[in-house]
Amino acid sequence: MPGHKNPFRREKRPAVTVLAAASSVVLFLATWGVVWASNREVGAGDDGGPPPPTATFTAAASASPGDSPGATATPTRSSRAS
Amino acid sequence: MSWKLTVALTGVLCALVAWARSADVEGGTAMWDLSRAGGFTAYVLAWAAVFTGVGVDTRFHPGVVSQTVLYEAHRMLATLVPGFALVHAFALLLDPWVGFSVWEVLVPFVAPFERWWTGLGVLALWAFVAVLVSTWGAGLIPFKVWRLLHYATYLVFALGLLHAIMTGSDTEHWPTHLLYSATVGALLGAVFVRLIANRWIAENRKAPGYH
Repeated sequence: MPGHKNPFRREKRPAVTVLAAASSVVLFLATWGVVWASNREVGAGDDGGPPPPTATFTAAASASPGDSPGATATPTRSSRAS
Repeated sequence: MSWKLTVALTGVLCALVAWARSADVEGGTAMWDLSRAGGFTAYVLAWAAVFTGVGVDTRFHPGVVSQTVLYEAHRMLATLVPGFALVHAFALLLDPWVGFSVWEVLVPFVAPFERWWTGLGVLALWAFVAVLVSTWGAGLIPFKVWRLLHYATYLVFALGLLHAIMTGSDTEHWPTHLLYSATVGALLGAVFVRLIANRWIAENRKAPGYH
């Protein structure tokens, strides 16, 4: 619609923009930290060791021996450790 | 500035993901963890964008925050959502266990992992982008069309939530239950208040003595 005025012209508030962006990065890094910590908790076991490297996703390894070469198992949510 | 900032942030975070992959941080689980972090962040940002959007539409902010600040927050939070969704997808691309291709990450319902539920997430991303584009071009499309697309954001948010619940490996954990319950509860509450408040404003505007 030529000539139609954009109803969302706004007063700029760069501080709010920067604050929202910075908060999102903090949230992302904090979530990564929490997820990483929960992995260690799950993978540590009784001996306090590090999590197994394949804790995340094991479906490919569970493909049956009869599968044709190159075939991959369909991954499922339950095949992942948290 | 918001788009430039979002693009820059997305680039930096994707570089972080690529570094974590090449450095083999966490012994192979980093990509899945970063993908989860990106997904959670995108979800929370999407919720915050919709929540503040309801606040903007309510036009009733009793001394808490000005309409302008709320609108700016709403706009920036919404702009950030596709950025973090891309970080989420980029980490999946580099995940050695999942093995997604670019095609499978960008096209709905072709992914090898939880095809339909993953497809809902891809669909939600593109629909969210469509809503953002419609706001960019709000001066070029009829207001009613823009408004209809904007209302569709509720559905887009629901699709994203379904994707998160059905594909997320954290769904069974209580903090995730708490997050989903709190965000959905707060959003439903805000929508309820919006309906009540707007009706109250409309009724009182007609009343004598209302300024």
